[in-house]
Amino acid sequence: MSNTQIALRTAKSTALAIGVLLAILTGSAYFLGIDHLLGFSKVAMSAILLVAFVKVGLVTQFFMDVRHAPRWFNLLVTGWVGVTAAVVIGLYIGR
Amino acid sequence: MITQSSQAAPTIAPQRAAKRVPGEPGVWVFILVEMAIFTTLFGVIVWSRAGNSRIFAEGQAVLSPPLGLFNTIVLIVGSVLVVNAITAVGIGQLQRASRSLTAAMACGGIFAAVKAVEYHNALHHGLFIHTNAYWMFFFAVTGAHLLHVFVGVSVLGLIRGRVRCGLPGPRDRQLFMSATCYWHMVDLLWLVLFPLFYLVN
Repeated sequence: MSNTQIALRTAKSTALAIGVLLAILTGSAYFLGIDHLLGFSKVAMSAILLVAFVKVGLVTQFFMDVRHAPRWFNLLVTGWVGVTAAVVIGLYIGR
Repeated sequence: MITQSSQAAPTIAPQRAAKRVPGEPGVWVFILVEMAIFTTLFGVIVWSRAGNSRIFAEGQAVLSPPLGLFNTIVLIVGSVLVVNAITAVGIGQLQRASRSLTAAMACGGIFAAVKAVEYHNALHHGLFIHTNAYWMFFFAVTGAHLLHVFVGVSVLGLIRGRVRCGLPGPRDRQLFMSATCYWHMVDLLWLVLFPLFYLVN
């Protein structure tokens, strides 16, 4: 098997692993929100939002392949994720 | 910034000699502007929620969280399929790549069908876009997102024909990567909308 084929198989396995991780995180946030495992506290709801932005980060890095982009571009996209997470979670806690 | 040409090696994703923006930089400007607009919408929703907590709680009670969860999983599966299509193109399995794109488009169709059921349920309860703040945001923002799903399915459909031919044009590979990035943007926006509308109370 050539190096290219090995690399491509690794890429496919990585995509599947990230997909499964996203599904697990989604399920965890779902049960945290629906069953209120930590009650209705702002901490619990903030945790749900934080998990959502962790998932967004995973999609940008691994699915959009931003991790293989130039550093400035990665910082731009990661910056958007961070700023949006800060705005949403900050407004949720602060208001 | 654009380094790929018609003479580029067939491998797209994993082995890059030089780091580069995935897809057309111009398309990324569009994607980033879209994401910035949705940042504003997310912020306005959370801001409005604080002053209308009872209205938002009552609105959430009407929605079916399992349907929202199902749709989230559907979009994640769609994104994995699109990445598989990129990998298949990289090893020259064009039919397989085309099938993966078709399956991803089907995920978009399933998402839209479930959304139609949800809209029908809300309307059946006498809840419209002008009913209150919650339903205004729900219909307007999820409607705007649904429009993006349709665009995402369309761009995947447009590029699928080129994928079957082996992406022969000079810009085909860039356009292919751009289409996949647009699709992932549709996915990631929903990943935030789902907890905002269904879970955070």
